[in-house]
Amino acid sequence: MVRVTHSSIPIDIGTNHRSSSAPPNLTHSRTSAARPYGLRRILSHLLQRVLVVCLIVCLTFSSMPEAWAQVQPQLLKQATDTSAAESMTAEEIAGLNDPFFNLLLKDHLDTQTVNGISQRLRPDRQETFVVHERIVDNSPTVGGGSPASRRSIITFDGNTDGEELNRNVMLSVFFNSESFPSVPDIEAMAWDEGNGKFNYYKLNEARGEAAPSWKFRGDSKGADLLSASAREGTCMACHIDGGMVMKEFKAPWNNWHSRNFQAEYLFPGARDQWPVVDATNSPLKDGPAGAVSLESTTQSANQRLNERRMAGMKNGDRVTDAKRLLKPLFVTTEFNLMSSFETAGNHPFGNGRPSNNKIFLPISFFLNSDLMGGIGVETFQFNEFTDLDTEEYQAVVNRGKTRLGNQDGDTHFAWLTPEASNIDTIYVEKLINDGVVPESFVAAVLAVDLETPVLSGDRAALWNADDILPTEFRTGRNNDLTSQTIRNLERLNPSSDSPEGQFLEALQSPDPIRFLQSKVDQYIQREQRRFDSREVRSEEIGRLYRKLLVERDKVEGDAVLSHLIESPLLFPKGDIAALPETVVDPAPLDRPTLREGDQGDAVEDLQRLLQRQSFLNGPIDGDFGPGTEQAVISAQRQFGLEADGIVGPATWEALEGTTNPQPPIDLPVLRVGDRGDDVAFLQQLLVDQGFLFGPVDGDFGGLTRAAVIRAQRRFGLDPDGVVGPATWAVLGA
Amino acid sequence: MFPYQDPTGTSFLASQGALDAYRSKLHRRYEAAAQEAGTRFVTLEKFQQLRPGVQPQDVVIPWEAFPIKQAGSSDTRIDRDRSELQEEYVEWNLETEGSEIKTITFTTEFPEYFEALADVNFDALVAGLKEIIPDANPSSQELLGLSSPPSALIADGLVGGKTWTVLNRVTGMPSESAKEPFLLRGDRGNAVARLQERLHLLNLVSVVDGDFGPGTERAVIKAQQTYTGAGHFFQEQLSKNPWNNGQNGIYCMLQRFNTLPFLFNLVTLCSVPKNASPQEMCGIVDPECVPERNSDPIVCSTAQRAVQGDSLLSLKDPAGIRIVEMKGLWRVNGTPIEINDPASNQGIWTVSRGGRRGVLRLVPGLELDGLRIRTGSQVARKLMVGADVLVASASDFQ
Repeated sequence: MVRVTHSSIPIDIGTNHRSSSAPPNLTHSRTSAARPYGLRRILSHLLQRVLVVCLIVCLTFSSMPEAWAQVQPQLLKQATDTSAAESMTAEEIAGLNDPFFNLLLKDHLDTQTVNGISQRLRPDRQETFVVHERIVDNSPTVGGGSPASRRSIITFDGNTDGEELNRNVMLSVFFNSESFPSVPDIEAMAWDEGNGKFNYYKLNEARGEAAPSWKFRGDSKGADLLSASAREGTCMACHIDGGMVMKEFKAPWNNWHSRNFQAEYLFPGARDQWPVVDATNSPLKDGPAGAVSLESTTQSANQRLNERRMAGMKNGDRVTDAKRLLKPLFVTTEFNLMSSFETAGNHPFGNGRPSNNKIFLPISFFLNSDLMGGIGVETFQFNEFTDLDTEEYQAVVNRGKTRLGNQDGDTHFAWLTPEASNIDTIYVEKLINDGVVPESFVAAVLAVDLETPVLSGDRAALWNADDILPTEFRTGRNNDLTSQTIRNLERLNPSSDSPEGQFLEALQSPDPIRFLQSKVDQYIQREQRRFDSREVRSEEIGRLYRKLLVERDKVEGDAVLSHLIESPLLFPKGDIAALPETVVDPAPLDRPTLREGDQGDAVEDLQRLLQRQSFLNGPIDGDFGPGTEQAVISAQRQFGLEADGIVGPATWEALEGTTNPQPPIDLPVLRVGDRGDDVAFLQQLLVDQGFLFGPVDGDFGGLTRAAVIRAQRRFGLDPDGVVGPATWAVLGA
Repeated sequence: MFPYQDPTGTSFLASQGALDAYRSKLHRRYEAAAQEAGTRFVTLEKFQQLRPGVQPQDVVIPWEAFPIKQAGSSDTRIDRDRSELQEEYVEWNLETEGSEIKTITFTTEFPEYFEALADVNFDALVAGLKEIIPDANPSSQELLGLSSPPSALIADGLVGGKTWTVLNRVTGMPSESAKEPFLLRGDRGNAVARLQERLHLLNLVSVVDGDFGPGTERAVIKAQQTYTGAGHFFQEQLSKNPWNNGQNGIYCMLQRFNTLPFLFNLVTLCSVPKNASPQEMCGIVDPECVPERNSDPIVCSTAQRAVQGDSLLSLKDPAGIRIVEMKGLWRVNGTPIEINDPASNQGIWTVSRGGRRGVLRLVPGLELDGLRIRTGSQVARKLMVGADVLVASASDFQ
């Protein structure tokens, strides 16, 4: 985290960022402002807009009344990027009551630089975050020599003249590898607590203006209701619900500077440091701040917006606009992006090397894990088997003919997927918190089209229908949302496999949360069978990858959400037709009785099962040797079977039926602090194999732990010093 | 030896006679870390040798307390499974009345502090616990796993197996007590030097000369009077200790990755300069650095970035993890409060023990980002903890 105190910011109010020798000019007027931007900079500016512009620069051809530029500065407004700038009425001005307006725009419209803004806001702390679709590219130039551009988001903390800055004022400023900023434009959003809305402002130079000026660019009121066409050219094109948009909300953040991808070139002293770090006025002198800090600000700010949105749809304990209120539960209003934590290594211009670790597919690709976790539904078992070897991932990326932009390649972090957005998730959590919507109702909605966590046509259709959700309902103790919805659904007499039928079944189940958990468990078991099956595994990975490409296309095809795709470098594209749409579920395993010395495919299946459950650590080679036998014996002990090392029907059944091994009865999990015969047995094994040089005293202390770690390292296990089934197995217990 | 501070910012350890035991344990960690091949991690003594007028850079490395790796686990599961899932160098516990949560306690404290107290005697250990849980009435069985605490050594100045064992445990020196000879005044040689080395760590002798004279004898007697060496039992009992496993409260961490040695290991290995981008370092020193953790990658890359820039570094005293900041919008009955400001947060969030303990009091009407507090995980998502690292350019050392 970079903490920049106000006092450390060099004073330079001038607009001429290139000439550091220019004296501070606190009173410059528009007419006296020099035009420091040459043709190259304008071109670079235009290029940036193509890449990552959310608030799009005005390119209006209507002319500005010349007089306005001459009289006393007054805040202008601009409806869309292509409309003319207009003056604001006194009433409209009176409707602005946020810290950015109050501290700056009200009386200091001539403040037109980031440093100037800092001086007006006088924050205790200022943080600079960096985002870009090329964040992993350290090259200081793009496209034949122009300086590479990045977007910065600047936040403030502190209280100035009674105005709270934290999560209330955010700036968006472009910079490039040479200078900060790279364009005169500054976008700002600021929270207006009294009116319960975000106000949007932009400093830009509209056609007909002699110099840049600040403009009010609308507010968040009613943003959720806007049609796609009404959003065109406004800030609400990207700020779909009117709040802050990060697009990526959890580690590892594919496009943000973060702890998971650190933009070294923005740190002072780095080998590939960009000149901008040392440039005049650069807020990057200590490096940028990591995305996690902005994430916290975003969540708090957006939830506050959510609260004010909801307030307008309720009247006491009555919801008066049920449909609008319930939309984020059924409809993907915004999306976030998630990925695995592993570097795929085939980014067309990143330097990331392929990770040595397995690629764990994000759980939120499979289902809405965040919201489910909030209502106590466990999905973590996906993490126990949906891991791909780097080779497997490469194979499917190639099979899908994956391209990023116009080159072969993939995102920096593997498996970039749209997931449910944080603003929708916390909105629903707030509805539950306030007793507006019961958890069981949320569970029933999530049970419909379970395997499509975002952009589900089925759930959207339920919301869209005129005759399913009530128009009004009571909240709190006498909540009648569920009963009304059930009545409406029953009237439709839906077939059991229709979305309406699925919804009704879930709502009517005795415990919709358990109903959902059981559906999730079935889903997990089906996927696990496919991942465990030699015949089906690679086809299933292909099918899932196809689903991933389809999800990305769905976002692109959505008239509203597609505004958030600000660059062709956001989503890799692929050849959907080259990937399977369905797979045939694996036939039940052929289950011959196996013993040491056997070889073949069935042994491979056995080894895979043993490895999955941490009994076996060795290679899957189809060869039933002593290691496999030891693993079988360990498994048999754990399952309470005769520990003979021979795999008959009972052992097969136990291995296939178990997803969550329980600690064995006769060989417990041991760790530091444990005592007794089991510890003595462990110590004897460690002594016999030369790991422990100490007493066999039944006391699991530091020496024993060190010996266990030595053994675990030797056998390639996680050296955690804790003796579980895998450690027992390698020790030959 | 570097004068390592009492990490709570008080003189409590000294008042219990445990400061030297604490210092010797910490000292051993620093020494071992600085000896790692190729590392640019140095001891704090080395940092005392900066050229006059040069101040080291004090780098705070923060991360969020919530274990992001555990995505897909419900918040209640993460709350419940402290010893497996709370693995960001911070652990928490809920104190409830009926089904209602009353307080949520976070700790980043390592057990070494209490081990030092236990090394003195059981009373000192109990006093340390009472500093945190004032009405605690723990038994020896609970804290040490022993029906009665180890008795004091006979203060006879004779160094037999028991004295060796206690000295080894208290100083954290390699334990080969069984092989050490019986020593008494008048002996000379390497074994005496090894004895003196331990006494020196405990600030009881000033010279290590291999000569067991009257000074050494007085020091041995002092050590025998001062230490029972029970820290080792305390450590092994941690997960069963009801005053720490949540049954009656918590006071220090017990998760297997949340250990002082793990932290030292991480920083030491990540401070070996490599011809790689700093952020690749975590993958290089895997498994000591776990990419899916919040803490490890940022600690590792920060260390590597510093040493690639030709700096030396160390963990700032007091070495450990501290609570840096609580994020989020906190309100009581709709009115925002400055949660990090003790003067105005109505006692709802209290950080103590040098930032190693934080207690959240769930008053009626308390909301975090619009939601009632239902789990500790919810709060952990907003809690930033961090490590303090000292960095200085290699050329600034004398």
